[in-house]
Amino acid sequence: MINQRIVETENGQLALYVGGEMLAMPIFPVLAFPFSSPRESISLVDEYSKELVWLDNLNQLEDSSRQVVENHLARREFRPRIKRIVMVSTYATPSVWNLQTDHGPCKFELPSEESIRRLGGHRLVLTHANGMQFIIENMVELDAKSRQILARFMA
Amino acid sequence: MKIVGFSPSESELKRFERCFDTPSPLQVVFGSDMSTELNFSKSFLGFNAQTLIASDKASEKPLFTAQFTDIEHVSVGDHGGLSTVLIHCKGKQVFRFYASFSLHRALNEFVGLLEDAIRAAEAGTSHVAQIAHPMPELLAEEDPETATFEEPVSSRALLRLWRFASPYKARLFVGLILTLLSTGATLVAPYLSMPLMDEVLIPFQNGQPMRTDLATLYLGGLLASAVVAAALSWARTYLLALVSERIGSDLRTTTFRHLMSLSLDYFSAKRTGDLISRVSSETDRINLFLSLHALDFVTDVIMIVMTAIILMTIDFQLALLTLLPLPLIAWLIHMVRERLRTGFEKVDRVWGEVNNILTDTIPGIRVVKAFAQEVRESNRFLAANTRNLEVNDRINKTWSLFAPTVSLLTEVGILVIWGFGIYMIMNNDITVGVLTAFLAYISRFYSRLDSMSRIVSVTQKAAAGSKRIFDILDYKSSVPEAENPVKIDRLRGELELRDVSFRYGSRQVLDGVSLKVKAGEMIGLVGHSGSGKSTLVNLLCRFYDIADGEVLADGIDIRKIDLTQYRQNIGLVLQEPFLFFGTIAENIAYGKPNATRQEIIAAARLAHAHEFILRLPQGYDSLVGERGQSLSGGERQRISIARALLIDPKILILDEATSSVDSQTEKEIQKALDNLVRGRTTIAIAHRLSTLRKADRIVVMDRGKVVEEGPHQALLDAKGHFWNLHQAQEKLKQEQALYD
Repeated sequence: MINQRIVETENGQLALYVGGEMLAMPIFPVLAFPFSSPRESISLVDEYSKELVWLDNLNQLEDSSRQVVENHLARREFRPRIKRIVMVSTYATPSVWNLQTDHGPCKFELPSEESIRRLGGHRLVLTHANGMQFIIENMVELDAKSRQILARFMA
Repeated sequence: MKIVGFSPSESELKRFERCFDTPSPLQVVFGSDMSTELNFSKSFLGFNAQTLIASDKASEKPLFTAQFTDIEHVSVGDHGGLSTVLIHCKGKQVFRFYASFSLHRALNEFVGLLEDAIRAAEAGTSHVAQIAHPMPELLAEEDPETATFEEPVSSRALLRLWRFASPYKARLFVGLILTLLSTGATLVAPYLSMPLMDEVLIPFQNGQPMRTDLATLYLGGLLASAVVAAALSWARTYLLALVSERIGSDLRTTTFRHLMSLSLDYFSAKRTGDLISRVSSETDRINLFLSLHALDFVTDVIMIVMTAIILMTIDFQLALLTLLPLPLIAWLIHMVRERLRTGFEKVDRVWGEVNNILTDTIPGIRVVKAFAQEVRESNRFLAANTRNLEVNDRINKTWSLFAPTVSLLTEVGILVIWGFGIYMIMNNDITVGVLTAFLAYISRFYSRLDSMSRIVSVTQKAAAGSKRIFDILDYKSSVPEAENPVKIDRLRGELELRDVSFRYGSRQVLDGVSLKVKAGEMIGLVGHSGSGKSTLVNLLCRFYDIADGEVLADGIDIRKIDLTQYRQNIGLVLQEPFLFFGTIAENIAYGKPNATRQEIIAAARLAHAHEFILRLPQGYDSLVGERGQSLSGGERQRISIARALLIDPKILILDEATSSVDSQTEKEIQKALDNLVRGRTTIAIAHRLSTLRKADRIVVMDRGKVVEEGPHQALLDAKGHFWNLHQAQEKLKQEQALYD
């Protein structure tokens, strides 16, 4: 447990406190390994990207601070998970896909085959043409049709 | 009322309008593709003359309401493809509204209009919104299952090759005629065997005298048909092979030319090994397909059609029986086709993977060895190869079953004809000669079917290759040539950036940079790495096109200037000089291949390269390797300076030209650079601030913005960013001096 506290201010920024004294504002929690370790190895940096606090683990924070950081990360590290690939426009890239995700159905544009990246094991990250990242937690566990579609874009 | 972003439906708009309790009409609505709970679902943000309201597509009540007078601050930010609007009202927790980054232009426009409206409301005047922005959407259709897409057909990719074949239409036509004739000639032989059997052999066996005259005639006919067929076949094979070789070569050069015209962002997104394999082996595969397999296939089809006609005229009943297995084989071919198609695409990708490892490892061999990772790299290669094997094994499983099945069907087909033929001879329906002719035709017929079935796999391979080539050809350069480019000869060298913003993907690299450079002025560009210096230079060279703002050269937007002419006015010296394989003279004359020897030597002299070049045993004719490995870093750099000097550019860009060499070499390079800079507009990026003493002005960048600007001394006196950088370097220098 560390003695710093993180508070969300009214205007939506995060501030770092020790006791009653504010050390820095705004601060940003940044994931060091957004794919391989999304819940651990978190750095709290100031607006100049200077590291203020290093957290091996979110549990080092007391409850309310942890909640603040988690809420912030959920927004900042928005990576919907793909449940099903419903349909693709073409097997040549750029290709527009219809997806079912944990955040609802959406259209996804795959700009090139290189936009599919293996994260080790059966995990994949697919980057939308607009930069949004979609995760496939386990490509083997997808339904047969989704797997077939995916296989056409992957070696 | 104006709608920006994702358009709401009629009913959604009505519902949204009902959320407002004030009578004033709705002014601007932004339709988002994300809900406030971060789901992919429509939501709306809109305002009338006094109120801002957010709502999702189903709710009757607003999710958020704010009077303009309460709103303190509105800001937009984005990260990882998600844009967020923060609306902060006095005494309330901030409200967040989301949209995907696809809508960021519309969102920025909306927020701009909102700010105007708030300001107008404060001033007590009314406000009218103006522009709408149609944008690509992220949301799926209401019912994704009903969405219609074009059918993906990979074989169709082959038809697109016609573009490359059409210049050779006449020769292809001649080739086709020759094919028809030569195939016809080969079919004469079995036809002559019929009378040979019936009129010569059988009567002789039945005790009649041998008809030597007839025998000679038929044998002569057989020989003649064989000779004619051979000659025609030679002519057609030669002609068509010639044509297909040319088509393949056109395809290769066109692909490479197109590749060269693509902008840098294409190359940064692709892997070198993959591109190499596309341009070299894929075009070769298509070439092989055209010259061998496609040709054979056409011949086969002609042969089968002709044979069928001949068989029908000889005996209709037996002909029908002969052709019976044909649909079965066609169906079999179709089945395998489906399975093989995806397989071959996969093989290609795995093959690209193998190539990628080679292109990764071989240039990085020093690192591999230094860290003793040879075994690991070998294993990586092994793994890719194993994967290659696996994929191939899977295809071969299907493929190996295919050929024997076709053979078996052939044998069975011939057996049926034997059986039925014997039965018909027994009933005196046909003669022995007819059966012999049928068997002769049919064995050719089936052997062709067998080879035809092979076309499936090669067609699929060629189609996959063609798809991968058209992937390149279809890619439009993101730095397009203007429709009516402004022709320029020599620029004066004035440069101006007006409120330039740029992002790589969703990462903002430049943010509202404005900079004016007079002709002949030298600008030093400094800042931490990642501050956007190199990006700025890339934009000036028009390696990328900007998202917002303008880059002007001599007052003309550079997007309107003829690209080649524009770049001819730019001399670029990079941190890592790249020397092509060739002589030193060729490397210096790279930007001006027709330069005279005098010009080359003059440029080398000015670049302080002349003397060291003369020290080389072969002088200016010395070959330099792929990366100019026989020369030191400073020497290579001076050659690249000579290269820039030779084209006598009006604009000179030095991207950390002296960063990778020691201080002694730096001094020599600096002397060369001083010659280069004279009389040219110069933008110099440098880590060592001392190299920028001669700059007329120094521009300090930080995180995509210009934070300071002014002459060297003035910036030092101001004790701002530049002073900080300077102090840090001075300190370093003093420490080094202590060591020395």
